[in-house]
Amino acid sequence: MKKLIAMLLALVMVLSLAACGAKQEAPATQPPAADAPAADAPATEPPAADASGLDPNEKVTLRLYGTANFIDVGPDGTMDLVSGVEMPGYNELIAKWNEKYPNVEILVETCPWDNWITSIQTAVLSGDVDIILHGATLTELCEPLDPYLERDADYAKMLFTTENRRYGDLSKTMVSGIQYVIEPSIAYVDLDILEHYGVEAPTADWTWDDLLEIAQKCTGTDPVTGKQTYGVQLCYTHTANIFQNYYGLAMAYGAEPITYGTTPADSTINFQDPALPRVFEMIDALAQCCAPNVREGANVVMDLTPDNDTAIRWRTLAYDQYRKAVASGIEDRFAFIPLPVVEAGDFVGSQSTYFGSYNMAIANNSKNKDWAWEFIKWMTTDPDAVEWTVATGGIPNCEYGMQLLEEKMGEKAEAPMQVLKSMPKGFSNTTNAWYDNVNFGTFSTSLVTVLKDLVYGTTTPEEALAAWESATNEYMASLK
Amino acid sequence: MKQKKISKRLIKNNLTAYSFIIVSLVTLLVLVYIPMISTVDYSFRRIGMVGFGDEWVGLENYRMLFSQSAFWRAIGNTILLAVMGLLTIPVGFLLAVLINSLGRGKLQEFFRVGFYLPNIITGVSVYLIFRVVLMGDGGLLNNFLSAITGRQIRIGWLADPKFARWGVTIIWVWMNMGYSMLMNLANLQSIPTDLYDAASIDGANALQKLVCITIPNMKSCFALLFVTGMINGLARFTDIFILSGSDSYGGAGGTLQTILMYVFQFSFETPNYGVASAGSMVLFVLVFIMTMINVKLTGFLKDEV
Repeated sequence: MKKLIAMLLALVMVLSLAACGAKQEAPATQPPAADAPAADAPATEPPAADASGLDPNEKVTLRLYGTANFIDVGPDGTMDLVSGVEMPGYNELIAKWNEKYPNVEILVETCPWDNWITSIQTAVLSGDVDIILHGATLTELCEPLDPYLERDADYAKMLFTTENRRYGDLSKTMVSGIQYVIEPSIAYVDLDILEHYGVEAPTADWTWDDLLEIAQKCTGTDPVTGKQTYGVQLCYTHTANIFQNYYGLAMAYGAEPITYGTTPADSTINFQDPALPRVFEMIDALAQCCAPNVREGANVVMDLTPDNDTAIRWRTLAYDQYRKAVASGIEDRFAFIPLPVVEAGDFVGSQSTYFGSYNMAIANNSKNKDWAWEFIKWMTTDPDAVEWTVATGGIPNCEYGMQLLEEKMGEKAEAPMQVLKSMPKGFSNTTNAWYDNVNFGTFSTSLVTVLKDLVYGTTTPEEALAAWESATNEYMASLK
Repeated sequence: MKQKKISKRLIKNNLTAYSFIIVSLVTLLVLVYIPMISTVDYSFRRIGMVGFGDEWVGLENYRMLFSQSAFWRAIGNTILLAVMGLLTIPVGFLLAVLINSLGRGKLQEFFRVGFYLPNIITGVSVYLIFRVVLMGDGGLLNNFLSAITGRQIRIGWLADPKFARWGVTIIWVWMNMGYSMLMNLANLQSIPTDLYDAASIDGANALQKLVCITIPNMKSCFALLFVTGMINGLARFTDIFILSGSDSYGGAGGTLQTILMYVFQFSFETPNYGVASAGSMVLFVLVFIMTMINVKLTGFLKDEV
């Protein structure tokens, strides 16, 4: 009897493990080969001619998988610990969708940010995902959305921007996802500190030199309070997102080292671009006006607080920052201003910025692509969905969303709005002429290290740039 | 024919035992050996995303790795940090000697548990706390050093390339000294007391007893700690990654980038699983060689005569 039970248990274990293995190896739909240019050759049939062709009586299940703010709010909502603001969960969103589309069931599964890329990749490979939450960067998994946007031209006009990435032929971009939350970096200026030092508040047409001048004047002992103040806080010096400081400045000075070919090996990165030294010198100069903990990247607080000691900060999440300032009763103390203007390059006249986002992409092996597209359209423009996005603290990617934000933030909504309106629709965060974190290996990762060293003060701008050049050139040479 | 019959009977007689171990064997096969073999295979392919197409490129990934000074630096950092991490052995030994000298009782138990506690605390929270402790400006360690030296000390223990390796070693030693102490203590207490009694009769002082009796008898314990310490040290990742501010290129001028961080970079940040797998294979070979050298030098696997 003992033998029989033991053998049965072993058999069950073996079969269950074998079943797990088999599921991963047999995706529902055969995905495209990695080297196939997805923008030119969509994985499956093109979208239907008209969205109205969707059958409202068809029973459909859409499976959403990934991260974005779905993981932050959870199914039933949460409360922001700083501002005390309650944020609705995604069940509320799904209920609104089902009021309009009762035939389409939505199943959401979130994964933690740790190893999110591999989690999404595994889930998509299993064929169990229709919409990837925050998956636009994973271009191999994404259905190209350009044909969908061409089909729905009116919808496309309602959006501020789309997620454009390079895949296959790097000289071209494809729309791999649509942002439902778009977060431009803007500056938060402490008017009290400026007043104590007798410095005038900046306006949206300021330059980085103006910003530096204010920062230098406001670094020292506050003449009114007698406390130490700092001129500026470079953003995210405690994480790998420190690159956002380079990003804004490279954009402003027209530093465009990358020239795309059809493949990474065909592309070139020119570190002799005359604007690059200027970018590094400005970061170095601004770092002299930062608090020591900011320079070291340790114990950094980036939120607006009553005991703020820094004249100018910048970061994404403008509406979230506003809500936190309101919760502390300090919203009038801070001016929200776009980052300085772009002085050279293709974007002259725009505001320098970095766009954060939460996006949705359609898995290229989904069997419900048209319904997935319908959901993305609804998510990004339907008033109910947009209101949900605002309630979670995000800035929606459409005009109606900005109107809502204006009602909530008043004149402080002008800064993010001005940035969004000044940027072209295909503006890409991560694969453009001055920065690419997808295609050039150590280009982006070594940038993080040299910036940290520069900000901390262990290297000079020249040394930092040379170290970045050396690491990147080695990688590029290895591709040949 | 006869031998075949014997084998069959042997299997039949041990069927119950085999049915129990098959669970472990299958688990090991599916979760360890198949991924290991896949990694070897991937290291010869160009793979952007696993399951979405690949291309056989032979030794191309290895050529790319070895042509990069960053990879060689990562190998150097990995070995250096692993060697520096061996400081846990003398620290653990010192603690064990001190605790042992307290004699068996509540006090010894208290210190034994107390020093072992860092081993069981969740790593991530410790690393985040240590980032503040080791801050250059206003960090607890610098404040302490300033107080005892009477001078303002501002060492960037995690940010300055000259000190960063020491910073992460301090945390490593703090977290692992409990295990080392426990192993040393167990070994210390197994040394026959007759040896010490005989030495006392011969007029040996405490230092002579330590050098001539205790340390020689601790050889096997040191060897074990040396081998396990090196293997664990070579595979360091989480602590250094967090302490570097989630910078896979390694904080402080790249002085903290280990091979695993290099692999992580090509697995999750700029996905190229072929290169990442090749890096893993290099680490595997490195760990294997180091282990063999350690085993050879210490005679760890030799039968005691």
